Amino acid sequence: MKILGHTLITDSRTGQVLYDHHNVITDFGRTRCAELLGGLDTNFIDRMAVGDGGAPVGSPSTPYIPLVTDTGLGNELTRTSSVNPTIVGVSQLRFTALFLTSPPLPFANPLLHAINEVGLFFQDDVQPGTPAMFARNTFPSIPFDPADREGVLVTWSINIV
Amino acid sequence: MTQRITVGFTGADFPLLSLAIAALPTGVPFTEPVVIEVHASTHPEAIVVPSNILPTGANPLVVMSLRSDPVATPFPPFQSVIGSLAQYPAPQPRLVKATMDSLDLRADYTNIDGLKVGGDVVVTSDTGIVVDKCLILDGQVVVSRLATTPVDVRLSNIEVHRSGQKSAILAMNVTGLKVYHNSLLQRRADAATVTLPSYALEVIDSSVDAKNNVFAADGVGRSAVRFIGDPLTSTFQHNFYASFNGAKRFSFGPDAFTVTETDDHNAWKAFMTSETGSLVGDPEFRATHQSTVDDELVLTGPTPPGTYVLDHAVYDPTTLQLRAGASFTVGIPLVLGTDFLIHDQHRGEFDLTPAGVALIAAFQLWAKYNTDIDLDVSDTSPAMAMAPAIPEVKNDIRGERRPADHVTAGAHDHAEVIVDDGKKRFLELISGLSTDPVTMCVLGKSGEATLFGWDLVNDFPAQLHDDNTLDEIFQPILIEDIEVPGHPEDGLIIFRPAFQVTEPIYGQILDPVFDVVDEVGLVATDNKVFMIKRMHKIPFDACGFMFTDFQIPVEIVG
Repeated sequence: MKILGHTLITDSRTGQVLYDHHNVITDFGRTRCAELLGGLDTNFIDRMAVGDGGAPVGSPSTPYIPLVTDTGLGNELTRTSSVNPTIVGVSQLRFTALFLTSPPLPFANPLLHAINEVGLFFQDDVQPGTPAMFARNTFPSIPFDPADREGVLVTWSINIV
Repeated sequence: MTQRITVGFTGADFPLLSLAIAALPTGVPFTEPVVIEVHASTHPEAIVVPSNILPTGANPLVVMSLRSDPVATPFPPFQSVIGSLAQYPAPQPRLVKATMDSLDLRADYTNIDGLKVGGDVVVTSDTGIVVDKCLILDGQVVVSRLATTPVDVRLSNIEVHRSGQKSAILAMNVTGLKVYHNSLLQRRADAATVTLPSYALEVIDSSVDAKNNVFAADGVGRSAVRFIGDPLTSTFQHNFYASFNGAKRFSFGPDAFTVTETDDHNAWKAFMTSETGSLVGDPEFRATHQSTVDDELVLTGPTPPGTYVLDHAVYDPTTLQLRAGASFTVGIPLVLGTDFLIHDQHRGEFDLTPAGVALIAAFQLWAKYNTDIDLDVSDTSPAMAMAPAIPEVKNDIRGERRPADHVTAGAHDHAEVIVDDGKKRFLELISGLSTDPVTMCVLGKSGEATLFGWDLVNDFPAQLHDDNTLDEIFQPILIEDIEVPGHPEDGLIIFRPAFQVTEPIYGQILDPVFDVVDEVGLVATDNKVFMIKRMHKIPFDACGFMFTDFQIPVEIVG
């Protein structure tokens, strides 16, 4: 069984597509999925986070390549447990989460209010401490200030191919 | 991931094999298991594990898989091979898949009864020992100590045909011995010539963890399981016990120790003497089936070192198949002059090739792709010895029924399918939309299934029923053994259901003598089918029992 993840980030108000690409499902995520399948674990995917540690401070448009061994975001800014899982057809699972620019977030670079990474986590994820990240994606920095936009809508699709 | 080096060897050129092995570079980072498989017709006593290919690391593994020409008289040396492994200093190589069964169950042998694997398998190390998939025609497995000793030893998938007056497995003064998925009984058409063990398992002042085994005994005064000492220190679950012709399932001694036969996990069945006659109907493919060789794997090339081309096939790590025309580079000295047999992953083909080239080829294929070059899965592999020869069908050993008669349940690469409900269930599980995981298994039989019908080719991929259901023979059973190995096999899950045929099943079979099952399904706790796998048809021993040990990996690749 092969599963692929895909991240779509759009402007929450205008619908403008800001990022649209595949993600990296972590080793931990794959193993946890196997455990969930066989009833060996019950902590499912139920939270999503965005951060600004997905690219070098000095090169915000050149994101790091996410690795299967990643356990969390480089610098998590905010997360939500409202991910609204839905099954589309028989082979696609879709999570949708809204991240708002307000209130201001603790950006790593106070001079650059942007996000460049997003992660999908299992229920028992604790950052730091006992990480349980299913998938991660990095992307060229997206301005994330109230002056730029109201927020972003992240639609994360998990497909069985 | 197991790295398998398979070489073949014929003729009287055995010393060259050692030279070829010795030609492998020292210091190769064999941090993973290494399989060395040798097909030898003469002088197997010369086979030793060369020190320069011993793996390094904390958990080394060396497997010697020996195959021998039944015409020769090979069996005494195999003990010496085992002994040679045991002689290595710590960390001692683990003995896994000590495939003495490879010696005799190959379908291309016509006289399997002429082949004997002599002597016992004696486990002398206390830790890290796994003896797996071992067929013993005439001997026993012994784990014995002078004083009570905790051990980390697992005996699994062992089949003992004959142990004479000895026990098939003897545990003495040990604690923690794991005895899993063994079949200590062989029922065959020639059962009259097969001596069932006096005791399938003998536990003397020991505590044993015995699960999913078949224990059987035959004859007055014999028992399937014999305890000397307190039996309550052992754990017995999901085993099948059979007693024939006046034998008993259990024997206890001394009298101070008694147990009641109230373990609900165990299936109790005593066969009547009158049933012995029905053994005539016991299907015996081994003696009748001959695999065909319909392809070649030819290795040619210039004088090494150099670049070589496999004329007909080379391993493709992407498709996991052998592809024609690809090249590989040999960069280390070779030993030429001896014919080796090399057989490929899917077809089990053999071709005579220069000795060193064949060996180095296998090695290089492994080294280059750092992946499993499993050259043992074939029509002619031991486990497939009883499976039919189906042209164009690639065998997949992942599903395997070991005990009793070594029928491999694995089938075509594409003979399994995750049904739509299964895909949906998986997504529901990882997102919390369902709390019904896949924990059950069911056997089925397709409408076309007949004993000698073998029309699977036309059925592939899994010819499911329109509603993606199975013709259930059994009610789904709970799978007790579900394993997620984790790193480095992230995403892998292995289901090991164990089926036991008990008397009520007989009434559900159309033909009480010749019948088969050919489907297995993984089922969620709410009875939704997750996956269906079509298998080679497995004879359903109406007069006896069936016990299976399916391993059905579901690999999740992100």
